[in-house]
Amino acid sequence: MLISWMDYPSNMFESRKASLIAVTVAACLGSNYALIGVANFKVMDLLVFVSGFVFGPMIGASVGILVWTVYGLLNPYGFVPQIWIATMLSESIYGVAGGLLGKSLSAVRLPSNRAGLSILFGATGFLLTLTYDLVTNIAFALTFNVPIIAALIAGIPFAIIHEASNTVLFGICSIPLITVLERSYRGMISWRF
Amino acid sequence: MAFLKNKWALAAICILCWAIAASLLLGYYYYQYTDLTSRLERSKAIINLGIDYGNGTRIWFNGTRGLTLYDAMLEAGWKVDAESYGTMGLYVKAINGVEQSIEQSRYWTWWMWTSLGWAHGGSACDKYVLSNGETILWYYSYADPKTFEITPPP
Repeated sequence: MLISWMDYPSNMFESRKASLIAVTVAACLGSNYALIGVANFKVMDLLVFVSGFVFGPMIGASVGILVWTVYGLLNPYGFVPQIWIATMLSESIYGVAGGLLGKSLSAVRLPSNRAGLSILFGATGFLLTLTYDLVTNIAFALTFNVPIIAALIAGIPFAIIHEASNTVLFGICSIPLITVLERSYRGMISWRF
Repeated sequence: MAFLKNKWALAAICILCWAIAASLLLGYYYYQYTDLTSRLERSKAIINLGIDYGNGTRIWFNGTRGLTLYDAMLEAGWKVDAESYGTMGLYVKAINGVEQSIEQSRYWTWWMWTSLGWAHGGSACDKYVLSNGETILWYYSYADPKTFEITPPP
């Protein structure tokens, strides 16, 4: 409710938007648990980004934070509060960036610029994942008293896999996903905060 | 969003991502390389290495460091002419310009000092991993052409 109020102050109890966030969060969680055995390959980042792109940065950020609220608490790899907070905040970057990009691309017709947009989304996925890995690795280093440089260097192979998979996912899947969501939620989409 | 139509701008974005990823991998492998070399440097053994030319000249290089005997020979500044026999290792044909002589039946062999005296090395010098404090001598040995028995150092 708080999230709805932040995004749409005049429609505080708009149930469709609340359900939209819930469904997206559920999709993220479902995909995360389904891919638990595949290290550093997650569809969640793409879903958070696309939710931000289509429904605005606040909803995108909310989805990112809510997903990690649940996934961080009920995580088979364990629970560390500092890293939990870092991942929650870092994940929200995908949603915020998606929202800002969606706002700036509101005049662009997706199907007519497919190649250019795919490259743009792929690069965005790469850079956002780089930021996410950087923040979470620094949080890991500070939490476990590991030298930051050593933690960053040791995390590079995992980061590269994460970044490469997100580059491909963002580049290939963003446009079809956004197109489907825009059709499904026509009338609800607005390029404002 | 005119840059979506600009091929150069899109190519620049791709190259930027590639450059970041390549730099990350470069940093990772550089760190791995320097870490490995520093560990290997720390694990080098310190030995007493000697060379006996079989003519009464014996020179010692005490405190020589190396991972293998071949490393230590190079560390001591010797000029080693060796031939590789694959997994069997290096066969030393000449040291410091003194070549083996089939006519005179003289060959380069290495020996380790033990409580019982000199013991023949028994393996290729690049396959032998050194331990701290060992005393190893390269000797220009005479080998009996009939029995192939090698004369140990005096």
